[in-house]
Amino acid sequence: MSFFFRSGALYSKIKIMGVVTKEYEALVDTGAAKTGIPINECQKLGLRASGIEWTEGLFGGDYLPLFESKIEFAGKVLDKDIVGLPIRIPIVGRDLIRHLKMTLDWRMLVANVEDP
Amino acid sequence: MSYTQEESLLQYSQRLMSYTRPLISDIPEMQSYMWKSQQEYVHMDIPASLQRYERMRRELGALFNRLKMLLEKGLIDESSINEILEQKIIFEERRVELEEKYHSKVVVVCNGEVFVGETIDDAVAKAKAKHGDRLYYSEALGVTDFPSVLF
Repeated sequence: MSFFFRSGALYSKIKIMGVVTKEYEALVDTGAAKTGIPINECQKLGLRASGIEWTEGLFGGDYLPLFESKIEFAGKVLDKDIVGLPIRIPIVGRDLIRHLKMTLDWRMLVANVEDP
Repeated sequence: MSYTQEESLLQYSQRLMSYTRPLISDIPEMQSYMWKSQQEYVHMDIPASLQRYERMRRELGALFNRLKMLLEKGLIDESSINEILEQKIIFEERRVELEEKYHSKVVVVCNGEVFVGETIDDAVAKAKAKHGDRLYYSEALGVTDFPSVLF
């Protein structure tokens, strides 16, 4: 399975398909509502803008661009609008992980997907 | 209000900004309030409708700047800016009504029509089913939901 731990954080391999297809190691962030990738990667992948979302959180709010994409995640291919963010590594948000039934053992650092 | 090919983006942004009312301080009937210091003025009882216009003007400016940045990066084109701003204006004009009706839901405005869902995915799916690839503007009403650790 494509989940692994690094520095105590859970990561997953995801493949994003735009005009170009590219595989990433993404941080799994259960606090993130949506999956996001660095905005310069959106350019490289040739993703089409689909809209703008206003999001608000601990440090204020911002208008974030959304891009149409196909994502391969844990063996599933999903049509999702992903967020272009000013970050260095992609993050997998709840919009993707809600498709899985998985358990996490944080003592042994083991991720077990029961129903992919 | 829509973008015309004859005018530059800068002219369009200026026209867009003039669409909403001027700043409170520019409105004659509000000038009597201005004898106090700025700090005190902020806390005065300014009519809700004027506050709303101020907010709309500010938000449109912020959104326009963000869209301009995306244009410079080549991620959107000029017609997309126009389309998204139009959806934002429709949202702002109906904000009070939508906040009352759909508190804690996600609203998507696409092609002038409002779609509501429990999550952004639900609302976007409804919008795409009806309007296909048209650009949309989305906002969660009364919900704080943001990528967590990285911000």
